[in-house]
Amino acid sequence: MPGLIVAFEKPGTQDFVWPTMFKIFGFPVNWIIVMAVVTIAVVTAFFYFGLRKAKPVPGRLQTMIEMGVGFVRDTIIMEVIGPEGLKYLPLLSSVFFFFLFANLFSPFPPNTSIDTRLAFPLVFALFIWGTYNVAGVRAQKRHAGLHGPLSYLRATGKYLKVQCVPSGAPAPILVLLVPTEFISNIIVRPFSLALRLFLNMMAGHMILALIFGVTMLMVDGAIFLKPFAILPLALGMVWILVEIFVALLQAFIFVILSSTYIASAISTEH
Amino acid sequence: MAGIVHLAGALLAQVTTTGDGLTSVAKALVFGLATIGPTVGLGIVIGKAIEAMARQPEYAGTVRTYMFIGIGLIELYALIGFALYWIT
Repeated sequence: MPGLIVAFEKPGTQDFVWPTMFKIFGFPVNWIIVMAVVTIAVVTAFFYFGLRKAKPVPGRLQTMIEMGVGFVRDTIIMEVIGPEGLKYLPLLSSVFFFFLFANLFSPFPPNTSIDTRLAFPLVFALFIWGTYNVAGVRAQKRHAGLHGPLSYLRATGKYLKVQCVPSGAPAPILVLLVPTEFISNIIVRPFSLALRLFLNMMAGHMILALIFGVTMLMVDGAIFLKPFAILPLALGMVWILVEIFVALLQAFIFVILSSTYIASAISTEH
Repeated sequence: MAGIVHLAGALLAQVTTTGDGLTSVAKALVFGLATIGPTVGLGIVIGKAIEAMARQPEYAGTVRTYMFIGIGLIELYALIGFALYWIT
């Protein structure tokens, strides 16, 4: 019916593509690059101002930092990896805080999370992938006491054997099991890690866009539609709370899955 | 009430006119079907975790940690269904 509602534009993947704003030394900069710089600046400032004058009785920022790092240490690393995982505390807590701030920019202004572009989580996931594979090869080398020029090659073989050959499986099944385990443990892991974070943030952002789009649609619509606009508005406000929860949960899940992968890589028996 | 009905009709018309009609229905069904399995799995994981926490409250922290690992592994499959909606 013409005139009842205005044209409705569905939110879609086109909402996550920004045009080039300006160029720095020939390097095109768009809104998502600006947000990446802002996120890095906020995380850096958070740690710099929180720990610039660290006191025995912590202030507000220092308490938040200590709670976060203590959470990563006690709940994630000590539970999943154990005491030998404490050397990964700087890496995992940095990743945790970075994704925490990056995700929280989705429900809070300026409402653009850099995790809605696959590239940013994928780089982190590939970094984690390199970390746990190198850690696994080193653990095998140390465990077997290998020395000499070919020691890393032999340790890599042992590591791949532990990762891909389940012990106790009968030989005919290994034909099926070894490629499956190799694909799932070595190849797919970084992509699933990145996709989980990326799709969660993109889905939440799109649902918010849909809810508030319908709100605007009803406000701009016919006169008898205007009072009903309060319903999607209330739903959108509740969904912002859900988004804040999802932002915290996804940072946590990214880090805890990373530490699970590290733990399974550095265990020397299957 | 009539306004709501008209709005729903307009939205449905919008959905079915953005592409081939059956394609849109199929795309919606992909996400709907993709959520069934992960939802059942999440129910089992969270229910069992609550059961374990109620039986052994002193292990609640450990159980919660592993519950979140399971949730993280499961929810990817529902989200892949969501992504297929936009890709196809």
